[in-house]
Amino acid sequence: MKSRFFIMNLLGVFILSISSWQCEDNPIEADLSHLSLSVNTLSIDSISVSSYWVAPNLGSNERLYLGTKNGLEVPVAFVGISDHFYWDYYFDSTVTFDSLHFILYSNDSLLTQSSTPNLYFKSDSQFNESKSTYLDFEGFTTADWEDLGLPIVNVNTDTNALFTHTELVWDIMSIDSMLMDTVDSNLIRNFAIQLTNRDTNFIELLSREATSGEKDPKVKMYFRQNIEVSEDSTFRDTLNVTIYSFGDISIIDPGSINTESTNLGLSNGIGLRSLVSISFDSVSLLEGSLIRKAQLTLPIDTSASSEGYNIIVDPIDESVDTADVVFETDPYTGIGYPYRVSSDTEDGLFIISLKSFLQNITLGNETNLGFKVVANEKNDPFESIHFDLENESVKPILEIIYVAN
Amino acid sequence: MWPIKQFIPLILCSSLLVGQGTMNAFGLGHFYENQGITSAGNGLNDLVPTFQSNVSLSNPSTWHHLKFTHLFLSYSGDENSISDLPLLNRYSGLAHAGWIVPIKSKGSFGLAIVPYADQRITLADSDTTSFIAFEDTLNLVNSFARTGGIMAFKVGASYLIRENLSVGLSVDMLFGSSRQNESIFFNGSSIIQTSRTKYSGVLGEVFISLALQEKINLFASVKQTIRSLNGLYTEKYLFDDANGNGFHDYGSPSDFPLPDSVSAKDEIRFTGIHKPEQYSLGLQSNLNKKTSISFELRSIKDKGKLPDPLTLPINDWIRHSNDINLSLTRFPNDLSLDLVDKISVRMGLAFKTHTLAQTKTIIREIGGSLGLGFKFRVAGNQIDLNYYLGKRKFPDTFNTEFVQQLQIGISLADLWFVKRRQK
Repeated sequence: MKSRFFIMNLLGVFILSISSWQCEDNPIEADLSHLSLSVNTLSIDSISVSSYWVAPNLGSNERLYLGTKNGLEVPVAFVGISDHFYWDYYFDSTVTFDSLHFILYSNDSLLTQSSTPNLYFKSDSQFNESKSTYLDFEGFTTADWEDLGLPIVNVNTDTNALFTHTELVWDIMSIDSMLMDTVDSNLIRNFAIQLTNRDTNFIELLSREATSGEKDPKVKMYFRQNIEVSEDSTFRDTLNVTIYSFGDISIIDPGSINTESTNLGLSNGIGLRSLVSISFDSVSLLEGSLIRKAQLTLPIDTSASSEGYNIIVDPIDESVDTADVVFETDPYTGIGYPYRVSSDTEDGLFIISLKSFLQNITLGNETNLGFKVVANEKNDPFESIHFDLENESVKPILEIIYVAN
Repeated sequence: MWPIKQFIPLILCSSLLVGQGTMNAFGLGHFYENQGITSAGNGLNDLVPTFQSNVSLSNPSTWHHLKFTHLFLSYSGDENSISDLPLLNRYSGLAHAGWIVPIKSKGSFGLAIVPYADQRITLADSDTTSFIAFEDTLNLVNSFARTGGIMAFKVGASYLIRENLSVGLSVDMLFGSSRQNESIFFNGSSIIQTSRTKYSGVLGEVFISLALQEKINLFASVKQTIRSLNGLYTEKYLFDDANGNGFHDYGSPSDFPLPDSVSAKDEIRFTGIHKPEQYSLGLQSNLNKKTSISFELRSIKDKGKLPDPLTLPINDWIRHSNDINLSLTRFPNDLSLDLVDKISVRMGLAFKTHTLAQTKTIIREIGGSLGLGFKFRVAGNQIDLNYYLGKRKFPDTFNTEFVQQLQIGISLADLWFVKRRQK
C-alpha cells in the first residue's frame, strides 16, 4: 500500500514536470564571417533615352477642356449619354415629361454664361473614349449638329455659404424626339461642346472620371407619372431620374510636332512619350542574386518642366522594329502589372524602383526590351517635363544593391 | 522513507531548467553519443551494464540476460547555459525508445530508435558589419538557424557463444533532415538563403562481452561505417523576408520575389559526409553482489568530409572524440521486499575531449551524473531518473558552457510470444 502511494506520487510529479516544461531557444553569438551571403552594389550608367509621339487621347482625363492653353488647342469635347429604359418613358401614356436637362459641372466659382460653351447634339456621330484623337476629327464642324445654345449657370454653395461647385444646365427638351427616336436602331446620344464666346479662351469642366456620379456629365429627366392605385383611383407622382454618360473626351490638337532628338520628355497633350534602354540582362548580377534595391534616377530639366509630375514606367512586352517616331497609336505595349510602376518627379529628379522587373530578368522570367515611359493620364495635359541627360552634376543612373550567395 | 513532497520543488526546478548548445553548431550537429547520458536507464555508460545487473540497453551483447521482453522509453530535457552571459537554451525530446526480446537466455533481438545528431541551433553574428552602398551606410547583421537532425533506427541481436562469452551486433540505419536558414539583416528586413538536406546512411557495430573472472567483466565494441552518411542537398532561391516570419510565403507584405516566381535549384548529392569509426572498451568489477564499479573508454574518429556547399553554422567540425567514464552502480535486490532494496543508484564521472578538424583545437568536458532507478512488479518494470551536470570548455572564441540533462525513463517488462491457455 505504501509503495503504491509512493509510485502514484512519483507519477504525479512526473506529469507535473512534463506539463510545466518550457523550451527556450536563444541565439548564441558567434563569428559568422564564413557565411556565404554578401551585399554587393552595381551601378549602370549605360542608359539611353529616346522620345516618340503618339496622337494624344485624353479620354481618361478627369477634366473636359475647351480652348487654348500653352500653345495647345482643344476645339471640341464630346459627351455620350447612355441608353437606359428611362428613355422609353417618353412613350408611356402615364408619363408626362416636364423638362430634360443636360448638366455639366465645374470647379470654377467665377464661371459666367458668357464664358461657357455651346452644346450640340447629333445622334449619328460617334467617338471612342479610349481611342479617338484629333486625327479622327480633322475638318470637324458642328454645322449639321443641333445647336442647343448656352447653359444656365448655377453656382452652388453649402450650408455655410462656401462654394461647392458650378452647374452648367442646358434645357434639351427641344430635342426630346431625337433623344427617343425609336426608328433609329443605332441611336447614339452624342453631345458636343465648343467655345463660341470670346469672353474666355479656356475652360475646364469635370469629366466622368472626376467623381463617382455626383458631378458626372448627365441628363436629368423631370416628369409626372399617373399611378393607378385602384380601378377608380389614381395617384400622380412628380419624379426625376438621372442618366449618366458612357464616355467623354476632349479632342486636343498638338499642332506641329518637333521631333528633334534633344526633345526628350513627356506630355499627354502633345502625345510625347519616351523609351528608356538600360544595359541589364540575366547575367548582369552574380547567379542566384537577390536585389534589395534597384533605383533608376533620371534628371529633369526644371526650367522646362512641371514639379510633381507623375510618370509611369512600364517594361516593353514586345520589341518594335521601326525607325519612325510619330505614330497614330502607341506601337509599344507594356507588360503592365506587376512591373508597371509610377512615381512623382521631385527636386529635379525622377527616381523609381525597378527592383521587381530586374529581379525577374535575373530569374529568367522576363527579357529586358527597354521601358516605355509615359505621363500619368491624370497629369495636366497642357504641362510637360523634359529629361536633362546632359546634366553635369546628376547623370542618369541605375543603382542596384543586391545580395549574392 | 523521504516524503515525496520534498522532491516536488527539486523536480519542478529541474523541469524548468532543463537546450541548443554550442556543440550543435559544429559540423552535422551534436552527436548524441557525445551527450552526458544517452538513456536514463544507462547513466553514463554505454557498454557496461547499469540498467540491470548484467544488462545495458545500448549493448546488445548483454541483452540475453534479460528475463522478460522489455519495452522502454527515455525522455530527456537538456539545458545549456553560457557563462558570463544571461543566455539559456533548453529543449526536450525523445532520448531512447526500444524493444528487446530475449530468446531463451541464449540470444536476443531488439529494435530501438534514438536521436543521432541534434542540429538545432540559432546563431547571431557577434559583430555588426557596416557597408557603404551609394552614400548610404548599411548595418549588416548575419544570423544562421538550423533545425532538424538525424535519427538512428537500430536493429540489434546477441548470441551467447560460451557461458562467459557473448557477441552482439547492431545495425544503425541513419535518417533525417535539416533545414538551414542563412540570413543577412539590413534596412528593416532579412534576406534569407534556405536549404534542406536529407540524410541517410548505415552503420554497423559489433559487441563482445567477456566474463574474465567471477568479479571482472570486459566489454568491447567496434563501430564501422557500412554505408557512409549521404546528404541530398536542395538550395532554395534567396528571398527577402518582408513579412518577417522566416518562411518564403505570401502575406502582408508578401516576400520578394513572390514564391511562385522562383524554383528550387537542382538537388546535389553529397557522399561520405560522415564516416565514423569507433572503438570502445569497458571494464566492470563487482564489489559485491549488488555493487560494481566500472570504467569505460571510447574513441571515435570521423573520416567523413563535409562539402563546401553545405554551409555550417560554425566553420568547423569534430574530427576526433575520446571519452572516459568512471562509475559506481548499485543494483536492486530482486528478492527483497524492502522498498529501498528495489532502488538502483548510478553515479559517475565523465571526461570528454573533442578535436576540431579545421582549427585542431580541443573541446574539453567534465561532468558528473547521478541516477536512481526503481524496480517494481515481478517482471521487473523499472522507472529511471538520471541527472547530468557538465562543464564544457571551448577554445578561444566561445564561452564555457554548462550542460544539464535530466532524463526520465520507463521500461515495461512482460512475457511476449507465449501462448497462454484461455481460462
